[in-house]
Amino acid sequence: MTTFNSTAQEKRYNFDFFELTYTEAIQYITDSCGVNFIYSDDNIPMVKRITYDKNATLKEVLDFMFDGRFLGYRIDNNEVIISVKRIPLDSKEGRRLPKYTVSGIIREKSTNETIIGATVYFSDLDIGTVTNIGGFFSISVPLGDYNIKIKSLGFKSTDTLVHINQDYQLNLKLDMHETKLKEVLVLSSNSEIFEGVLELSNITKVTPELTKELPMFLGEGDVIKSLQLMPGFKSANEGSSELSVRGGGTDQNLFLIDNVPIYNATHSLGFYSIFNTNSLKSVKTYKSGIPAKYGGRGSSVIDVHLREGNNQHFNVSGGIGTISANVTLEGPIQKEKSSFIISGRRPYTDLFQLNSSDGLNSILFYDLSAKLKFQLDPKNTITTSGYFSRDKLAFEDVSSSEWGNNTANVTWTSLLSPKLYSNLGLWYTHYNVSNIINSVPETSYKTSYTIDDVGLKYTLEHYITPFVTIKGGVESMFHLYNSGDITPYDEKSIVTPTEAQDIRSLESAVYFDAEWNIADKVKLGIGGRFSRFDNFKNSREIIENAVPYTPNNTNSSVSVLSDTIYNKGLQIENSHHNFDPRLSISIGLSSNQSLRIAYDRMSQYTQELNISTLPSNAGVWIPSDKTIAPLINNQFSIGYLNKINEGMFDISLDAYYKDSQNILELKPNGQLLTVDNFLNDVTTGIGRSYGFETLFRKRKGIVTGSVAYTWSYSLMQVDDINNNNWYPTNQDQRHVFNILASFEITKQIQFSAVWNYASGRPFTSPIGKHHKDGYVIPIYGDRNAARLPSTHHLDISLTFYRKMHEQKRNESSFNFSIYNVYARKNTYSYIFRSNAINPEQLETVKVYLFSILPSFSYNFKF
Amino acid sequence: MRLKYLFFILPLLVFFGCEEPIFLDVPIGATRTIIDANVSESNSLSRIILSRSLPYNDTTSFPPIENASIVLFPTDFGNNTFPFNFQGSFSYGALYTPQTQIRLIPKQFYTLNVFLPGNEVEQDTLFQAQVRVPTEVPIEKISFRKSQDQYIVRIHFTDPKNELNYYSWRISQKINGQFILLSPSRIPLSTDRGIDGKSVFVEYPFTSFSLNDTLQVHLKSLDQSVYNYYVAVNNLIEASGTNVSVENPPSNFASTVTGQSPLGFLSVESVSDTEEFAVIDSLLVN
Repeated sequence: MTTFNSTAQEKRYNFDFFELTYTEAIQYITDSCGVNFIYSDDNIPMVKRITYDKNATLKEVLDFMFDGRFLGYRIDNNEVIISVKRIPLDSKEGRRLPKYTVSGIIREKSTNETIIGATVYFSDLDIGTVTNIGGFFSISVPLGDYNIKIKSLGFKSTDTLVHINQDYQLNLKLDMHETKLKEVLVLSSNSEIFEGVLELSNITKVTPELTKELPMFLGEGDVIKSLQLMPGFKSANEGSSELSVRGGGTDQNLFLIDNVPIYNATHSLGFYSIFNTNSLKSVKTYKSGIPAKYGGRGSSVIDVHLREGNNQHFNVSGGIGTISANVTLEGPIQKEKSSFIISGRRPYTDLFQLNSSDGLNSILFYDLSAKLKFQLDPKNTITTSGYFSRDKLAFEDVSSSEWGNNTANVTWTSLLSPKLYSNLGLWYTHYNVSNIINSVPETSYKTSYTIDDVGLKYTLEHYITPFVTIKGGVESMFHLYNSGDITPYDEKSIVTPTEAQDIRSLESAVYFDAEWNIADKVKLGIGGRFSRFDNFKNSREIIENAVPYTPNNTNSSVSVLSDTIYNKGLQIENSHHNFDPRLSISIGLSSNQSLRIAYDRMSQYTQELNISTLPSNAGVWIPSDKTIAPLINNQFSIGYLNKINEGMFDISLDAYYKDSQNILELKPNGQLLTVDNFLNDVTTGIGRSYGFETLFRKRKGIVTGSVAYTWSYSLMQVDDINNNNWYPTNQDQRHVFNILASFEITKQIQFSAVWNYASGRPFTSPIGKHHKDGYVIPIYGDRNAARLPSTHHLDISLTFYRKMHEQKRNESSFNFSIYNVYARKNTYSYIFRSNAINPEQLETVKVYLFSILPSFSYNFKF
Repeated sequence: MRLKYLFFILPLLVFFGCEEPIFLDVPIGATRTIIDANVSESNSLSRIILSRSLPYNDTTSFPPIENASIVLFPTDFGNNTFPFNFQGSFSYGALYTPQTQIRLIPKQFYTLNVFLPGNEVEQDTLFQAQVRVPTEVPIEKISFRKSQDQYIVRIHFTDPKNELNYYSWRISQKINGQFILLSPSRIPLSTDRGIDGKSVFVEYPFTSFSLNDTLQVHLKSLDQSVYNYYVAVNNLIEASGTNVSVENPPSNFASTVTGQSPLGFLSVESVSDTEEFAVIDSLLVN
């Protein structure tokens, strides 16, 4: 650079330009400083806009605009000559440059498993991408030498230098962090904006390994409970693994295990999630900006993928906790080519069976998952996985209940070209609940309620240019609801077996998601999902003289069976269709800040009707039909992210408004006597939810942690309920705080603490009492007009790590946790009942679950 | 199904919960008129109780309504009436019993008029409800299940075929020379789903009897609306709390005064009563 005119260079100017293109900014500087620019139009960025508002010298503003990464400059006399270091991709010439595809698969070093959601960032070009569910990425770049940075939650970052002069295959392996909590606890991908990738969705990720270092509940690490530490994800009740997301009901979350939907994601009446952390690879959740490939639920997506198994070595890992034990076996079937993993969990709770005079009370659950992966050739992979879970609850010998999920799927992924990735999946899911009533053997019976779904889904992902990616696909699933077979239970039982009608329906969808970097740091996501839900006539159709419930006609009734009709084949009786647009835009305001705005419309064709706010198996899934329209949620959301002090801290602020139509609800005093004839028991209402979420995190240093706060409302209105007035939903909680702190005492010892505060949930309060037939009965007031007291508890944990072998293949950890350290008796619920001593008087009983609860967990890996 | 599921939900707290009686300051709602009307041909069961509701935390007796005029009549034959007379006031309200022996026509709708004369501040109010008389199902026999040294009563009957039937049952026990209607911890209820047209029995598991006890058993056939009402009452008796959806039971009474919505239900029941018997005698017969 020639400094022929030092006075001109040292002179300070009041530069004040906002969002100008490079051409406009050059003109501005020309006018302000009286210099001439020499450059080629073809090399100047066309879409990138710059803002500069400072009192600065000419050199300072030129350094800002031409930082040497793409363009440099020199000043010669009165002229500024722009030199090209690397042609900007968004310049005319940049767009004309031949581009080569860099694609590949990112894997974990020790197991060779693929990594979902790893960021692949070309720092020289300031562009990047994220690996998909197969660990695959694809991006097109011009000829050149590049430094590529690869990062993923829980793994050490890797930098690699590549020379690109043709299509390039880059398969890399990342090594896991030894101490998982050292950098981040629960990472939201939103922060990845700062690594060259703008996320269109509000995504929260939980690394299953991390849950082993957080305070545990009854010695079980639980990814869903970890998720509840993040804003917007609320527990349905204390200690519960059920989720309510942004005011939505617990049935509005799409739980996917390897792309297969799950109908009940909890064990033991909600105290555990069904996900065994040792079998999980990734848990990725969406609250807004939800891609159109997901559908069928109204509020959120919890996309869980099982591990594929180590195709290098055989491994045994497992754990023993206060309540349960688990073991996982994995290894290669053929080294580098194929692998297996099988993982199981079982509690010892049946060993603590409670003796009673009439028999035993028991509570039991177990789950098992297995997955096989075959790498047919470098471009084709077949994976197959299965999941099986079972719960059993028995009260003395008079009643028992069992329920569970079974899933299976086969997926074929194929790399059709370096830019084109396809995924074909065939899946099956089965949910079953059976209840046994055996108070009198002669009239004992068993009811069974099942849902069977078979689905087929095909997705194509086309990474067209560095700036445009299109994903699209079709899916179809056949639902079979068998909602209430009754069979005699005891051999003495004279109960007549009753076979419920099989309710059949087909849910189909075609969808697309387009991601387009329309400008530097501006990314647009446009998606659409057209879905259709066809009800078929029941093959054995029972006609009853039922009067459907409508708000204006409260005289609905079930009368005697009048006829049975047999319908052949699949005859469509009724159809619903919906087009769900999904729009999102993500804007990088600066290198440290971004803004994301999204609109999501979600359709849900089957809803769960619950008579209890307790997590339980008592819910019944009811499909849309000619009288029940599908649930429709419209959500508008905005989010702001800011990274402070080079990533030491970050903060996110989110706000949302959601309106809902056709929320399923029991009619006033509805009883749901027969599930296959529920027309006269249910009604629908409307809802609205809105709230504000904030998350502040300290991500580096000896002490790391986060503070999450959610302020929210969730209301609904149903004709004939609560005098047609709006009332708070069961999920309505005004304030929820979660503070998480983690302290690395030594490399081997980690201390963590979580403090949770939550406003009380609404409940319907008694406002009087009356006498009926010898019973004193409360009179209830407006629905959900009262509030339970707020709850708070502090949980701590100490985790010890031990490496048993230098090659790191053998390691173990011991976690000691205390739930509710200061033994607060948080109100779980109230019961209103007659006093046992004086039945003429009512009494109020406060129920609390856990005052102080220590637990331990030992995990090992060989 | 609702009942059945509640059966599973409530004992959850057996496993995980701790209980602590507390005083809860709740809002006080408007006073409601309560009409508890069980009408049948059975002299043991047929009665109407009128009272007012109390605030939830009130510990006084339920205020009786003593000056009502009550009359039952077939909806289509208004001239065949059965008046009810005030018998006295008790802690649960004012008791009214039939003036004459009631005779009901099966399948016929009956209407009950409850007239409350007004005063300086309240106007006259007429409450009216109607319900159909269900098919009477006779008790065929009584048997017992032995439970330790005591006996559980079983009531045998044959369910009428091809119609939906709803049942409840009660037991009166002779105590100190007088028959007392026992109060079970919840209202025994059953439908004929799964047992339509069959000879079946139901149990009264709430009280165990000894050999020397003298009993009278009552099997009530209910209308579907009455059954639904009792289900709603049972939900509140068994599971009343913040973890379940709670709603006041429906009422089939209408009022001539706007805003005067009473609680309670008219249940016109077909009741089959056994003779009075001693447990030991019945065992010997069987």
